[in-house]
Amino acid sequence: MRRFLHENSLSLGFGAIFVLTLVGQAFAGVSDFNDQRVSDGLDPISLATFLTSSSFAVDVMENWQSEYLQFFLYIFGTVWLVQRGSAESKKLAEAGPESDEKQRVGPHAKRDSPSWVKAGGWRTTVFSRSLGLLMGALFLLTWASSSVAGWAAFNGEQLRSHEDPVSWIGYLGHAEFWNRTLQNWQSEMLAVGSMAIFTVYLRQRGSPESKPVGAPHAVTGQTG
Amino acid sequence: MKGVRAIFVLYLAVLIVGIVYFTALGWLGR
Repeated sequence: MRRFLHENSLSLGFGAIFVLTLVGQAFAGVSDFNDQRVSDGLDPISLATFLTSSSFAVDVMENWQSEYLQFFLYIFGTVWLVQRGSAESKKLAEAGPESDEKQRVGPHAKRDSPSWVKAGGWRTTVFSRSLGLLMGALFLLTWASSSVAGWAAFNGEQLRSHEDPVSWIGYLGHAEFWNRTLQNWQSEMLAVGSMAIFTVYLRQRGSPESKPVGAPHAVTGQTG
Repeated sequence: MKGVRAIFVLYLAVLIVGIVYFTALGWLGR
């Protein structure tokens, strides 16, 4: 058991922090939501009601969508885009999808390669892009979900202030939807760009996200 | 690798259930 926990500590650890922070978000969210309701002269709602509300849903989904957009763009972008000296970049001359030999596909597949690599054809084509495709699909699904939940929450606000509700299509063109979307996107892009450039000159001993401490600043694509 | 695969499936399940649940809340106008 201890060995299992150690060998999977990255996914299990972050999964546990995810659950704790989501619970924290639920408690802070209902408190904030009720402050607003009381100041509007309405009765506060229970935690259970908040957890089944579109307000909670949109707050979760708008953050999920931007994270998966970040990973999707980073995974696909780093195939072609490089950064001299960065631990996050591949070597400058390797921009692009690289050779079959280096990627161990086609005739270069090994005996222990995944079965879809050895299968060839469309399965190899799909598997070769499966990580980016999944991140892209999760981005589109969570973004669509945030639009539906945001639409319901927005119409709730509209009705409380005696204004007309809008259609889902109408909400997609509304400033609130784009404000929620873009405020999340901008932070993800800044964080990714920072990570790419900061790892040129800064190190974190022992982290695979960093170059080895003693690696020269000019070396690209080395992790330690 | 069985345990690793279980964590992989768990993450996917959390994402799919989360997306379906939160979309349903919006769709039902809660």
